[in-house]
Amino acid sequence: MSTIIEIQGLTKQYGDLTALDNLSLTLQEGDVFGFIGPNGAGKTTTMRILTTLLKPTSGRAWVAGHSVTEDPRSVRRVIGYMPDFFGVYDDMKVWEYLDFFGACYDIPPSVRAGMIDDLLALVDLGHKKEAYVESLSRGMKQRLCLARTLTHDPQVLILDEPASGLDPRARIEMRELLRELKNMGKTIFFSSHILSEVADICTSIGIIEAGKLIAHGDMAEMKRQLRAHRLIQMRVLGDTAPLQAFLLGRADIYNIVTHSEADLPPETIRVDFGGDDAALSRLLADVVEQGIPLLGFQEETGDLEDVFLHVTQGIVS
Amino acid sequence: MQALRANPVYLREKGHWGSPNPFYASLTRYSPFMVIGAVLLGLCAGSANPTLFSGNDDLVVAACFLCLPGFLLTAVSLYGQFMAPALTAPSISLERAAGTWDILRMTPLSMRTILLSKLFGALSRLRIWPLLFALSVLQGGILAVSVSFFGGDRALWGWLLGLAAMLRPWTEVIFAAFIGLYVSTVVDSAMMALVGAYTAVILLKLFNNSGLWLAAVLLTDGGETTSLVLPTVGPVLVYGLAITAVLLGLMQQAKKLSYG
Repeated sequence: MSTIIEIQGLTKQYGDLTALDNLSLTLQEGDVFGFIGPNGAGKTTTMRILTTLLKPTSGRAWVAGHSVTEDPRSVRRVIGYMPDFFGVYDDMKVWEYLDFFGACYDIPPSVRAGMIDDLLALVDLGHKKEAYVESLSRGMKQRLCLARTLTHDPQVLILDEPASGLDPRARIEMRELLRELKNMGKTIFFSSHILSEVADICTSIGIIEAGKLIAHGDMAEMKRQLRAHRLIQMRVLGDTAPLQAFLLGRADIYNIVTHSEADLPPETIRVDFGGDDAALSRLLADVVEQGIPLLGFQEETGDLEDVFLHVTQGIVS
Repeated sequence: MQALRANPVYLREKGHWGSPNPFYASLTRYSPFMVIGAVLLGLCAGSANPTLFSGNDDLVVAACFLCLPGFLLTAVSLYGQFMAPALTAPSISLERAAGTWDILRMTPLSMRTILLSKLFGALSRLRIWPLLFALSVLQGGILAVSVSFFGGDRALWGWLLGLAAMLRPWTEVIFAAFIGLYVSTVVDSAMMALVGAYTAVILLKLFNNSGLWLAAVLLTDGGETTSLVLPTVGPVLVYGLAITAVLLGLMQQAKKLSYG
């Protein structure tokens, strides 16, 4: 896989306000990158710079090898952008909207007709082809806007809050659509406030606060890095006392919580473990070796909200 | 020209895809009243011709014949000046309000192409051009010929007066269209853009129709030739300068809008 987005020391200042502070980031082809952070953290600024709509104060960025500051027109040909305040022409019919943008990207009229049908089928709006855009629901408009970003078959999709303001059903549909685009091999860079949605579909995440990228990397890896100790649930047949007694003597166990102390199933304990995957594997082997009748052994994964709350401090630039 | 005809932004402004300008669509419903108003204003402007009140019936007939293209030209020009800002002023501010401006900027079309396409596309909906061309050539021709043949000492100025008379309505309408587009690039609201554009159009019109040119003749003691040439050529020069200034402003805005 090759690098498709590269950002080096990107800074954007509005007078005294630093909206983006020395941000560096690399994305590989086919990545689905979830960009999360509180309001005003700098997500939209980053996206607007990447889409060549905003000039950075300093720093550089490349999309598919094209510099966003030196070769913006080439960048525009390889990206599809959906702004947070998505724009549609209410006075057009659905097919006209796609036809117009197809023409803007120099797609010949003979190709456009088939392309429009394909795109509408992809976003499940084929039945609305002749409808006026203004008659569509918000979710449909959002999907139409997404279809528009695909008119020129871009390598990279930059989507700013693609599911904001949608009802749960429309949100699920949007998520499914993003999954489909991921399967089509598109690189997707999107921001969201809905953390579960990010966790569901993205391969890597970046957390930004006050213009600074405070954490970035593969989802699972980030969760591990950000949590000093790992929480392991163990369930045994019968009494948990022998297991507790065995674990208390180990240096890599920091704390033990029984089911009476926490909201855990019966005959289950939770241990605070400070070791890597190899150490965890050894712990499992040692427990089994002790003849303790183990029924379950699993790591609590936690969710993205935990990670988000752990690394952000609620600072807004 | 061929590239322009294939340009999607130009075609969109012309109405090929949807109906881009609700302001113009509403205004066109009142077109008959505007035409009547413009004709009346044209007649008022033309009625200052002293020949009409000379008492000589032959001269009155001749004056009416000679002034008729002028009346109509003034009417067409006034109509154009009124409608042109309605076409151009909302063109970008409406995109901004709808959230489509960034999407349009994201296309590979350059900002200059977008602005020019919007301008020409909007102007192509103003259906006065053949009439304006015919009337301005006729009016300019009548003035050039009449002064050249019957102007005595001032005969040499006939071509300049004819040219100025021919160009003036064009410069007025073009200025109205350009200033509409310029204001549209600056403000976010279509209503504000319309108010700004009409204010500029009216102010420049008042400036040119004030007694400024006659005052300039009196102050400079320029004689009969100056009093004939200055009030005719002066407004054209002012409109020409205003158009140049707005055009430079638009080019500056194009640079600014490509990024930011």
